[in-house]
Amino acid sequence: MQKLRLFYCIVAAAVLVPVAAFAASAVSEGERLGRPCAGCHATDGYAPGEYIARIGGQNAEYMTKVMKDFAAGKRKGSVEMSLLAKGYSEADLAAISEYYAGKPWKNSTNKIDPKKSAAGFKIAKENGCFDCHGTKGEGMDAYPRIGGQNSGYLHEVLKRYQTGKIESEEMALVKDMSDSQLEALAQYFSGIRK
Amino acid sequence: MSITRRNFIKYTFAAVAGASVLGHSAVAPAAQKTSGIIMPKKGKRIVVLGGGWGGCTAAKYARMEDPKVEVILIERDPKFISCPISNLVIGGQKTMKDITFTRDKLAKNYGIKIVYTEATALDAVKKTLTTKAGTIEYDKLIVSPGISYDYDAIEGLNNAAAIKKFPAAFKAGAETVALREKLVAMKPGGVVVLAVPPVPYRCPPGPYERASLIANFLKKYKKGSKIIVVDANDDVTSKGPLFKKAWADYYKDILEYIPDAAVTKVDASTGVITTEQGEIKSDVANIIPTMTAGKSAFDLGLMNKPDDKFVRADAYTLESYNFKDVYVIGDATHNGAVGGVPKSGYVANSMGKVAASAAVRTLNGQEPLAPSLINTCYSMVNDDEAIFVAASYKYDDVSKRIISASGGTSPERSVLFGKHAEDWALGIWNDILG
Ligand SMILES: Cc1cc2nc3c(=O)[nH]c(=O)nc-3n(C[C@H](O)[C@H](O)[C@H](O)COP(=O)(O)OP(=O)(O)OC[C@H]3O[C@@H](n4cnc5c(N)ncnc54)[C@H](O)[C@@H]3O)c2cc1C
Ligand code: HEC
Ligand code: HEC
Repeated sequence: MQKLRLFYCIVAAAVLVPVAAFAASAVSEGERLGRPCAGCHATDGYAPGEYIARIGGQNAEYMTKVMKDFAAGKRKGSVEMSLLAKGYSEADLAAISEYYAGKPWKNSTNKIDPKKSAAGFKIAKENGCFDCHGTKGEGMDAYPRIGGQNSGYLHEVLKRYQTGKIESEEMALVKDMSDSQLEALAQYFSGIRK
Repeated sequence: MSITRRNFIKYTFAAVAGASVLGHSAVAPAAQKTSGIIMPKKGKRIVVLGGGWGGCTAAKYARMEDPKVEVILIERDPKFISCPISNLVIGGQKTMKDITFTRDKLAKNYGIKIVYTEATALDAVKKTLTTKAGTIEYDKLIVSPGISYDYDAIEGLNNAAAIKKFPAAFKAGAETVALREKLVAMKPGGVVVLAVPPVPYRCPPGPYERASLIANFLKKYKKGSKIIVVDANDDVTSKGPLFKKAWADYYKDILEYIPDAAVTKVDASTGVITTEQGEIKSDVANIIPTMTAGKSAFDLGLMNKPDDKFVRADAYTLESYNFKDVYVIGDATHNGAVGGVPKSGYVANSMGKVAASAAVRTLNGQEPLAPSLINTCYSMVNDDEAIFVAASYKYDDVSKRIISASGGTSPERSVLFGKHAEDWALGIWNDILG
């Protein structure tokens, strides 16, 4: 299987070379539509602040779902994103998501409080966060990457699952948590650097 | 409104500008004086004039799209000082250091050649841009010259004493510092006047954000002081209900708003500001003059009609009406031609990407792609709460203009939007300079 995939890659590359020679700039539909997002999310989606989410390297399936939820007004706490996402078709949103998902992930550079982070790790272990989000919080498919995400954003989105502003069966487990527990979780996952 | 005198002066100005436009485009006199070609062109080359919000973005995205194309950026000021967040310097929440950057990463990370000089003339036939450092050849030229103030539109303003006394602070830098220092030095009980220019001007919510932050400063540090906002427009031009709510809730006895009150005359010796609604004696006055496209847009012959104050460009590619292979972006663009996008840093950033892509692709024999843009302007109304307007834009095949695809304002002000405002600046500075 591994060998087979490699073989296809070589064939594909060989076919692509002459095309690439003509098309000096190959801008996908997702890139054309997605470039302006970098005005808030930074180039390639590596948002340097705390409260705007990193989107470069997020999982495509999850990101596509979230973008559609924004457009449908299903994530009420996300005011900017709800207004903006309505301007694109479903196909556009999927293309933009594929574009950002295609970037390698880069971890947050936010300052982390080690005490809160340690407390967060304990809560995460006790609540099985790793079962769905992976041991490094990397997620997969419909499970979002949360390891190395920006801390302020993680805290805010956890509050929304807690208050029911975002509905999610999987995330219902945070409903009984206190705000300081959510903050600790946010600090821990944001601080994952590998 | 019958502002005969103001209009008279405005039209005179336009006529003079029109004459100089013809002179330049016909013979380009400056081109003959200056030394010869510098940095002779070897391969494909894009020259970008103006290293502000639009220009830096265009230079970076051109190199990202095709690293084989040489990109030269021409800019007069070695420092990049951000207008966005500069109202927070005036309000005292931030310092000049927080908004001052270099363009070093553009050179280092993207191989952009930056020449710190001033462009003076354009020869669109020979495809050369003349600068004080010499003449530079281009295949494609992207122009993002920002805005200029029309000091002549207000009587008594176009002289050194008045300009010093009434800093506009709509170009961040020395003017920002001057306004901040005047506010700090003012005695408690003083009167601040802030004059909003007629539309179109850069950053529609900018003057109102500034008024809010000055009121916030007066409330805390200058007991008994007032700020009077005199607006040349008939109402707050952006996020009106949200600003007015914040003013009523926080600055009831401090901020007074007067619409339809264009400033007609200022007196630098007495501080008296004359508006269409009467005179006000000011202790500090922030007179924001009428704006036009940056002076270079006139000098380079980019104005399409004699009375034009902004540059007409094709909405799909942002190529100027006047010259093939010369693109115009940012605040300098004419809304009648490109469509109803605000003159904001965010739009300049989006336009930079559109023009860079159009220039690179056509240089490589490819079709340009349809433009896609976003705008967002956050405004702080006090130390930590913000309001915002956000919209996405696309090309409309019928009107052949850029039109809004979605958008709106924040339903209310919030501390979280204040955090987003701060993060927005970090994100977009990264996208422009990082
Ligand atoms: C107080 C204030 C607050 C603002 N807040 C926001 C905000 O929150 N959000 C937002 O989106 N926008 C905001 N803006 C608007 C934003 O600053 C402008 O829209 C943006 O700067 C426009 O970019 P530009 O490239 O057109 O012009 P600029 O950024 O002004 O760039 C023009 C550059 O060209 C250079 N130049 C001009 N002529 C020549 C020449 N002949 N030779 C060499 N160099 C030359 C200038 O030195 C300058 O660096 C604000 C503006 C102000 C004043
Ligand atoms: C005005 C600034 C702004 C712009 C422009 C913007 N975003 Fe966002 N985005 C945010 C903020 C703030 C958040 C996080 C907080 C929230 O949900 O409100 C966010 C969150 C997101 C998320 C959720 C991340 C997650 O992990 O669930 C995605 C996905 C996203 N944005 C994609 C985009 C795309 C794609 C675009 C361009 C079409 C875009 N954004 C444009 C501000 C912006
Ligand atoms: C049963 C699987 C499951 C478990 C267990 C789980 N999650 Fe999730 N989590 C999800 C799914 C699925 C989503 C996406 C939901 C949606 O569409 O909004 C999600 C979303 C999130 C988000 C939002 C990410 C973003 O980018 O917006 C965060 C943060 C998060 N989870 C943290 C946690 C933490 C912390 C725990 C442990 C306390 C946890 N999750 C446990 C499945 C799970």
